[in-house]
Amino acid sequence: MGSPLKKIMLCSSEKEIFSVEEQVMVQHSVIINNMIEDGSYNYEESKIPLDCVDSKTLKKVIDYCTYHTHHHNDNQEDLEAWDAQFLNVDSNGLYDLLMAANYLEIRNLLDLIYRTIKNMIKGKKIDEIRRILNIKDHGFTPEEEEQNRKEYPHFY
Amino acid sequence: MVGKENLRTEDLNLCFEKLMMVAGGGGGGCGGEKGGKMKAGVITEWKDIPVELLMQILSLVDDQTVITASGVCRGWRDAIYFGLARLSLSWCSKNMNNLALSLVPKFTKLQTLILRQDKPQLEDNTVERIANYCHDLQILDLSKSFKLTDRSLYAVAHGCPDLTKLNISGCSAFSDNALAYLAGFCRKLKVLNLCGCVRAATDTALQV
Repeated sequence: MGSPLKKIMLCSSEKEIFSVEEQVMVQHSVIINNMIEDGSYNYEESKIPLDCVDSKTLKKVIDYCTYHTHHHNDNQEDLEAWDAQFLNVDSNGLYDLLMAANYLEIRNLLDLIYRTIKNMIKGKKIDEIRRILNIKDHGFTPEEEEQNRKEYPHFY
Repeated sequence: MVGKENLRTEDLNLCFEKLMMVAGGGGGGCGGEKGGKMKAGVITEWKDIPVELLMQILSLVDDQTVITASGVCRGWRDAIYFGLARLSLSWCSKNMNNLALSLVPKFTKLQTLILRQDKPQLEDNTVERIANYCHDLQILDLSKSFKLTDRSLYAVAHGCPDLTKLNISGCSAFSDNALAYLAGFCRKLKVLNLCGCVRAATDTALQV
């Protein structure tokens, strides 16, 4: 594990550079931890390219990792309240966060998002889930959709 | 040149993705391309969620929500039909037979199927259809299926060779012969719950 003051550079899909305490990312992200451990990160010149993470999402991810690194001794209730506030984003933002957490392998953020989505869709009908997750294009043919609605009316 | 070739492949992929998108939204032109977000050439939104992430989320919800999710969009449907390994319809107190008949055969990769009933609903043709489609079943719970006859056991014997656990407690109509027949085909069977199988639990069936 690196010294607390060492910084590493992350590069978003818009090529914006984010400088982050190494320890913050190493503690949370499996792939960054591996990268640092196997020596493939060069502190002088490396910028870790995150081509599928945009700046807005990357900033959120860094916020999450930073907060949880520095507040891991806080009581559970406070952390949960912070997490809930942190995930108070629209459904597209939540999706971007999920993809970023998955890409960077940030286990606790992934679990948090899974639980959040579970609560959003649990017990809901198809039309509600489409609305909640902003799915406008379901990809079924009109015939398939009509057939499904006829066959399983209780699910809509 | 290698570099040039890569570029062309990428262009092709991009074209392909666009095509897919148009084809996907083609249906009555309802959604169109709106809401699609391009990121490094990839369209990302909830309908495109990778299968393994969707399955992780669905492992946290109840079976009813899993079935609901399979109707949300085409991508989810395909992921769930081909990815779901465990399903229970025991919550279904009224319409289980119809639901199982129309729905279960679509989940062709099921390994565990729980069809426990309070009042008997399942009929032979449903079990036959399930056995015809779900060949990977390892655990099958048909508890309290009073209406089922030996036809169901014959179907399971032929359709589900990998069965390791079968619960037919309370299925009073099964005969000794049919059970022995099933045991002859399902050679991996290790656990068999026979509580209340009054006609079946004789030595002939059990020795197999």
